[in-house]
Amino acid sequence: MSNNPFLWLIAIPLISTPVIYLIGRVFGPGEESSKPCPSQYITLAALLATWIPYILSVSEVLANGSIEYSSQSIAFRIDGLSLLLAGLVLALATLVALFSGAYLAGEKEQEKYYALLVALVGIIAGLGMTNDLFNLWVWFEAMSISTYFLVAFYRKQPRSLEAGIKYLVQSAIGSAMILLAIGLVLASTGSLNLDLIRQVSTKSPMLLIAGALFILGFGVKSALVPMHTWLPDAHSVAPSGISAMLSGVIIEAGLIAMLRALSALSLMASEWGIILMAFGAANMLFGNLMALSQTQVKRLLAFSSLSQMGYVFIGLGLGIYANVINGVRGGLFHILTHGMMKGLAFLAAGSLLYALHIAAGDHMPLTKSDICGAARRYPLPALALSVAVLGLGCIPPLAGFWSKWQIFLAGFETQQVWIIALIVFAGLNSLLSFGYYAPLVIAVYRREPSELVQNGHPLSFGIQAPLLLLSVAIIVIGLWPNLFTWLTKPAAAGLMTAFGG
Amino acid sequence: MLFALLSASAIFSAIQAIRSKRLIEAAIYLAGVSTMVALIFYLLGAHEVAVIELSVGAGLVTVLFVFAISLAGDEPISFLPNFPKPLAFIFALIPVTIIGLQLFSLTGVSMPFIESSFNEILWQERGPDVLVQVVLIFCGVLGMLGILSTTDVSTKKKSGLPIANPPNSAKSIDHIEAKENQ
Amino acid sequence: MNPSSINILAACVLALFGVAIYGLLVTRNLIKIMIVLQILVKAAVLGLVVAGKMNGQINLSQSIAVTVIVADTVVVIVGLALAIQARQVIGTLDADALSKFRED
Repeated sequence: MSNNPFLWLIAIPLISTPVIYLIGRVFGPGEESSKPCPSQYITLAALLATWIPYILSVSEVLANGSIEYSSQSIAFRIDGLSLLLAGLVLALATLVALFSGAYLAGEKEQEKYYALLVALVGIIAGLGMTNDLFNLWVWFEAMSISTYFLVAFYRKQPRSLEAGIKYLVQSAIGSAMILLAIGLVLASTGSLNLDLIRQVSTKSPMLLIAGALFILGFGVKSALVPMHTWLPDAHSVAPSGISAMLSGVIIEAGLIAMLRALSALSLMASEWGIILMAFGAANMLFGNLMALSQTQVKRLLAFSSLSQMGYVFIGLGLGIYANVINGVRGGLFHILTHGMMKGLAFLAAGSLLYALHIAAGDHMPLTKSDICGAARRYPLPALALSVAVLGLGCIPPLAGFWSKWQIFLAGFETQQVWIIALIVFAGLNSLLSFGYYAPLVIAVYRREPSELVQNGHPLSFGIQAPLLLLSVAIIVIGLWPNLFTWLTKPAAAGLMTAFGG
Repeated sequence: MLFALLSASAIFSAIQAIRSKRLIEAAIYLAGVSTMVALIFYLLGAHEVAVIELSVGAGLVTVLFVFAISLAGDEPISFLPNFPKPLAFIFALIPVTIIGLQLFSLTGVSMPFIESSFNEILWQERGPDVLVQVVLIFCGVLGMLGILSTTDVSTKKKSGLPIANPPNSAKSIDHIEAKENQ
Repeated sequence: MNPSSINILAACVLALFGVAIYGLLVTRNLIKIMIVLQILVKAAVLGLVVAGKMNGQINLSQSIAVTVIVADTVVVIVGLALAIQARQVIGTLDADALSKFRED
């Protein structure tokens, strides 16, 4: 155990998956009861147990730099980036497991929900650690497959079936494109190990096409703008805990898988940087414009994910293009803060959705007019939603401000006119985003309570506790923005080395 | 020449699969594509994967499709595409030409070692792939069971509008059960 | 392995890829979408095996092709399950009828 703690980081969730399923199946609540499912407790226990190997891995990586491990010909490398991804998924999954207990009470197939949630933690942890191109694809595909059911969880609702099918078809096209790109790389370099590819690759048009296919294929999962159409549907109809996971972790995991694959073709790093920045600008503008016209809260948050990913693309892109490490650090820091803020926003919206609609047994979407005056009856969810959207909107003392600030500063550091113009464009987009974040806060605090709010269902402790924890975390990061430097610094350094910086 | 013939028949089957108006025909043409691809694999010396492609791709997947079609019903496909066909053609042609123009520069890299056998590579050198694959299959099976599950009536739904009453909905067993349980 | 047959096979991979993209754009039946997805994956698997053959690494490409075939069969199973469920809930396999339920 002390030798390879990171193996346990993958193994504990994956081994506990079948256990959770079987126990939920055998000892689960009967057909008619709405008692909580025992799977939830085992899920929480398994996730808490996974923190132990995580902390051990962190201490080992911080002491020795990255850990290399190879199982036969497949290499694994545990660096800052792997830890960032694993930490984010572990933290969000723990909170989501806590949140889901009351949220899903009375639904069937809960044991499968929890089993797949835990499997997702192990799979994403593995995705961040592999250093082999094809192994990366297998983890990536496993990640997609385990989320199909979670997206279509309410399987009698036409809307969630539609979202599930769209998600499945687009992901499958994306993964076929990645396979084609792997074929091209294998044909031109004869290797699948990312380090070996980096050594032998040349600047050939074949590899340029392979990289473009990597961007398209992984871009489906990380919601680059023309390939984003699955995202608003999937994020808005999935159970709210899963929306938080999708928006907070899965699209980021797709991005990190893309960066790993592209880093093997690092001779063309400046091209990749420019492409990422172009997609970033498109994502920001399109996400903001679409979010402005939404009336459903969860759809609005989904479109805002598009625009927030735009900042990440710009930060990483300019860092890779102009060799500015602060850009990469800002991008990775924004992945972290966006995961927390968007996770919190979806959980807070989800708790209101539960109180106003799901507890009453209907599956109507939560609209902006439903949440009017929610602060009177639901002070904590209202506060959490406000903290989350104000953080996303870049208000200074909250976490989101610092990560965007770091990206903006890195942009000015390059001293190139068009990058500075891009940063100004990003800043203007931040102002534009207030056009949809501010009305949410105003609706929650200033308006008279709507009829739905007055007749709402009370919220249990399990739903409210994750909201409190995440809100506190966002405010604390806002006050001490250097709190996660220990994680983003080695992660950015590792990524820059991979891209030949 | 044999490769050209097999490739041509694979492409022909693929086009037929897309053009055919009945699902069952499309599924059988898909099996045809699989068989041609499996033959190409065999001629390339990839014997093991040829067998697997033939048994899984042409066999199991076809059975799955036939099973699904018999469950969902093979209505003749009458809906017109809402994406204009010529535009779709252009969309498909662009990436093919871009990549195709580069293809003739493809030359392999000769690797300086003798490769180990298929079994060694699959089970030992790429063992982690197989382990992740087991996880993947397990997740897929859980997902399928969950999606097709029939025990669905949520005990939470007391107010009597569990489904957003879709028009012309099928009289499936689930619906009848749902009504009885209320 | 002479270069011309490699070129023929690479062209075959591309052609299957193009046919599948065209098919995905014009198909509306949910089960048929899954059939077209399978054609797309066949193209990718063929591409992998040909790529391995070019470098004399046929066994490496075989073992990854096996993994791909299995993984994509699982995807098809889940996709067909979704299609059958959609047929039971809305009574048709038309993808457009399904997307009418999205109110935005």
